[in-house]
Amino acid sequence: MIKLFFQNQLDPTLSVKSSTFRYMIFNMFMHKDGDKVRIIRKYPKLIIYPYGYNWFHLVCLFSQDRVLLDEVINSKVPFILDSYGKTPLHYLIDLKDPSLINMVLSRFNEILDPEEDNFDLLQTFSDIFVPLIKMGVPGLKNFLLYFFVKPKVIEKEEMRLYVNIKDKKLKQIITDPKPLLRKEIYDRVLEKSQGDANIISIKCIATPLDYHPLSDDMHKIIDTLVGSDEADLLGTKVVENLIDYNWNHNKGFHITLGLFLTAYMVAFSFYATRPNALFGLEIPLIVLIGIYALFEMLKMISTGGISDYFADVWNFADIGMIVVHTATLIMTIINGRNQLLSAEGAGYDQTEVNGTIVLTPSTSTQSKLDAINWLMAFSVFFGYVKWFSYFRIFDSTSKSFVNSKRKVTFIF
Amino acid sequence: MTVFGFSLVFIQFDIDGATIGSWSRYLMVVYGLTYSDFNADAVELQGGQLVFIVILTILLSLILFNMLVAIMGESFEKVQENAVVSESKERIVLIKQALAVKRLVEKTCCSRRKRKREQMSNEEKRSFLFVAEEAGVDEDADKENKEWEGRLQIIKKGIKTNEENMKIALSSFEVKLQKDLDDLKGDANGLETNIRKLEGRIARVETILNRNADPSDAASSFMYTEA
Repeated sequence: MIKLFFQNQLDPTLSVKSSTFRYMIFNMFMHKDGDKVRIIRKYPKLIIYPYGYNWFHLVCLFSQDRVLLDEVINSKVPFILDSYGKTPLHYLIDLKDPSLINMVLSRFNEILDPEEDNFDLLQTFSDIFVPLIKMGVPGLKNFLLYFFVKPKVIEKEEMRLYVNIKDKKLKQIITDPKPLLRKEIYDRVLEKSQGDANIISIKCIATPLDYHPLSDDMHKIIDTLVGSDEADLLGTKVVENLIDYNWNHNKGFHITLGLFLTAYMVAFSFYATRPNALFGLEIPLIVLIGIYALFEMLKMISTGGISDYFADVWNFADIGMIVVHTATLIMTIINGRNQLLSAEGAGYDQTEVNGTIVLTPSTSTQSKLDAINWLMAFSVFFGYVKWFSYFRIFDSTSKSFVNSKRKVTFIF
Repeated sequence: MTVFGFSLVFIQFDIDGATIGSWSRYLMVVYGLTYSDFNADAVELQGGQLVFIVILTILLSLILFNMLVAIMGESFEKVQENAVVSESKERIVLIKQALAVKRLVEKTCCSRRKRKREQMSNEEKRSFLFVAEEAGVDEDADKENKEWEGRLQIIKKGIKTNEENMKIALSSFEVKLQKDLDDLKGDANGLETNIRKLEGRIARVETILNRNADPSDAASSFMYTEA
């Protein structure tokens, strides 16, 4: 009874009665352990109606046994949808057992024939695609190969010839609610070539996801990928394109920040070299650095605490820059650097050398000036380090080596 | 070593110490000269010394340049090994930062818009991602990648695929062995029953033969064996 009760928890959407009934069916066919393997081997194509379950579903739902799952895959039990529109993987993901999921995913090429058109089946994965990626099992790489496929083509609609990708780009990524290759898609992606046409391939990710740039789906995927160390996973076409898509949508954010910082650094550089001429620039500068500090605080809160924030080494440069700049600007405002520098100030000693009056800064003035000069030097240094880090956002400078004929090799 | 050696060469032209002085002074002069503090007038180099300083500078720059190339080549290879991964990892971190800030701002400032989006059904929200690429890019890139990829990486990959292949081969071999073993067991069982049957028959034949030894039952036993 306890076992029955436990099994009922597996699929809370269905009534207890029907779930119990299905469990009984499963056990009716397989009462002894040895029998199970034998029966699966003998009748691999058995389907139980009205549920539409085959052995694959039953094993994933009720058995969760490695040996049985292995036998199901070996006996080529078809991977199909049941009457509820779910595949065995849908049931397996609820169990949250990474080893079983890894087993199915890593042997996915035995389960589904890559040559066949699996598009309709893969479309049903939209609910579990993100949880599967979140699992982060090694078999994912094998599984994701299925998801980068050619979309369906409407009859008589052929690939356009003498075309190029829009805006002379190497790659164009768009979203569309229908997985059909049709005129609108061509219009959005392609343009007529000016004589340098290439063969263009248009492929799509075979499962619909919420591609709004701020959606939970994207957030979860990126969050998982940040923690992932699987080089092979990052190399798969699906993940690569997901990263590219998200990058296209978030690039603007970093470019705006970069421009803001550039403007600030230009102003600061002018101020650092000519403090007398640019008297009064401290106030707007301190306002700008205040805004930047606020933004960094926001970043710290949103990335989830201090430890996560300092996981990125560049954030040290951020904090260093903000602290030193604020200190410098406050110091100059309090002491008045221009006053310290102008010889008419009070902090100068007058001495007479060979009949002419020479002004030399008194010891206190000199020490203040020294302190400000040191701070100023560090400010400029940290500012430029931070400014330098913004080169990460451009394609040509972010790559240590760009592997394409059109681009230039750049060691950075 | 170069500085030391050349200072000895230089002092040969000024062995009496008239122009510059002792050997320790020359050591400093050559040190200054090699690090581009080249001011022949200031130290008043003589003809022979000038020839040697030209040789020194050419030699030194060649050696240093070669060293630079060697060091750069090595680190280049190291970087190249992980170029794709480290680049996309960097991207992901940047995307995460931007996403996190944007989501926080949306949550606090534009909660209405967010709610509106959340109320939409999955069918409305979900869409497909289309990627248009030049078809030839992939294969070319792969070829070039292979050329440039660090040697070590290629070996690593080779070992990895080999390992995977071995694993698959081993597991299939295991399955095959298991099957054969099952078959053999079945066969053995069959043989055993057959042997038992035969034993029974032999026993029966033996009893009949024993009976045959008794002449009174000869006729009946003969009939039995016939049947």
